[in-house]
Amino acid sequence: MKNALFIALATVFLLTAFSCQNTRLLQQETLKHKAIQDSLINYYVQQNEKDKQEQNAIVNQLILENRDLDQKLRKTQEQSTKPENVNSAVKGSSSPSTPAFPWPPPMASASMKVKLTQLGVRTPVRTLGNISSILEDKLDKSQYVEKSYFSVPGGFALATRMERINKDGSFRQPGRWDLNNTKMQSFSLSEYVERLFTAPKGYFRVVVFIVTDRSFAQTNKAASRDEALEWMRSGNDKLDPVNARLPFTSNHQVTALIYEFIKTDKDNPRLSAPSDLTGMDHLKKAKLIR
Amino acid sequence: MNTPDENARRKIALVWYGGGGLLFLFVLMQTFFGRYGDQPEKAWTWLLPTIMPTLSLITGVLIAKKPSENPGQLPDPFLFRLAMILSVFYLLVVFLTLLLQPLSDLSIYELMTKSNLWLAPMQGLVTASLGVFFTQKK
Repeated sequence: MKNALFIALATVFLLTAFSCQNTRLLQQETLKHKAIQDSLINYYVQQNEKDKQEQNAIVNQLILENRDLDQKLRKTQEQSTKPENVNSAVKGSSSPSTPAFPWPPPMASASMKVKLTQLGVRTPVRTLGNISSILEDKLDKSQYVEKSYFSVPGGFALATRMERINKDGSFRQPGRWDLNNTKMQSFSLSEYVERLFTAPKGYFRVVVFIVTDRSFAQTNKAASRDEALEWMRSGNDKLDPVNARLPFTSNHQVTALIYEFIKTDKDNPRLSAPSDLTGMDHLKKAKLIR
Repeated sequence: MNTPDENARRKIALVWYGGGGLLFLFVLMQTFFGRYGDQPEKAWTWLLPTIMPTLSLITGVLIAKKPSENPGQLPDPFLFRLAMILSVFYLLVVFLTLLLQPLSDLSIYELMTKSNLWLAPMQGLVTASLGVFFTQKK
């Protein structure tokens, strides 16, 4: 009986000890797994952060490179649009990239304040871009295909290419754009006799539209023919976007300045001031107003 | 009564005085009407050497020439015709230089300067033929 009890107790002890051992081993295994799991998680987190940092570094580098390129591009644009020969700087000009028209403008042969209705405008004009489009359209219809934009305080100036005209302001056809040819284009007895006994004259014209909300007066200095020719070369081919977005207010006015030059056999071309014709006559003969 | 010799000389003198006089009047009118502006001397310094040497020659010969030794004899017809044709042609070219200028690309002063290219040799031929004609001996 004692033996049986001893065997039973020993068996229980052994079983308990075995189970305890198993539990301990299990716990150790669990802890091991947990440690491995934690280390793996840490590893992945660290890797992820590394990747993120690398990505951010690349993005930052790209941003910096892009900025540099942008700055270089701006500098190049500024250099290319910089006027080579601007007669006088305009203070407070809203668009530094557009060459400035001499301000106040030089003495003209004739001038006229042009009403929008005279330009055939029926829809409301909201921006300077709108009015420039209207003027360009009018000029295109009269075959003034070459135009030149300048900035003036409070607006812009639009100059046409110098053309050859008749004494009455009408276009000289053919040979409207031929400034050097002085011979008779078509035979007319009255013109022939006039040329035989009087010094032949050549008439030339440049029209400058000034759109501004400021009042101005012309200077006493007469523009030379070379200066007027230079306007065509030194201006921009279109109105700059900054000026084009400016609103066309009720204070804005469109003024046409006519620069007429007369050349005789013995003279260099000189400004005809005042012209024998009014500004309205010139614009009507040029088919720019109604 | 004029001899055939004198008649021939007078015909040539008439051509030159007529043509030269018309040119003179033409440029004078142009000057009055302001064709040359304030530089009329340029036009006159072109015109006068163009006609005056020959006119002076003709005038001098007509005044100084003694009557021909053979009054009834005609001068050399070839020389007469040659001098007459060259004179008329030369005066016409001088006129055309002025008349055609309005149709030209060149200004009047440029044309006058350039016209010396063709007028100078022609004037040499005309003067030579007239000199021989007026001084020929029968």
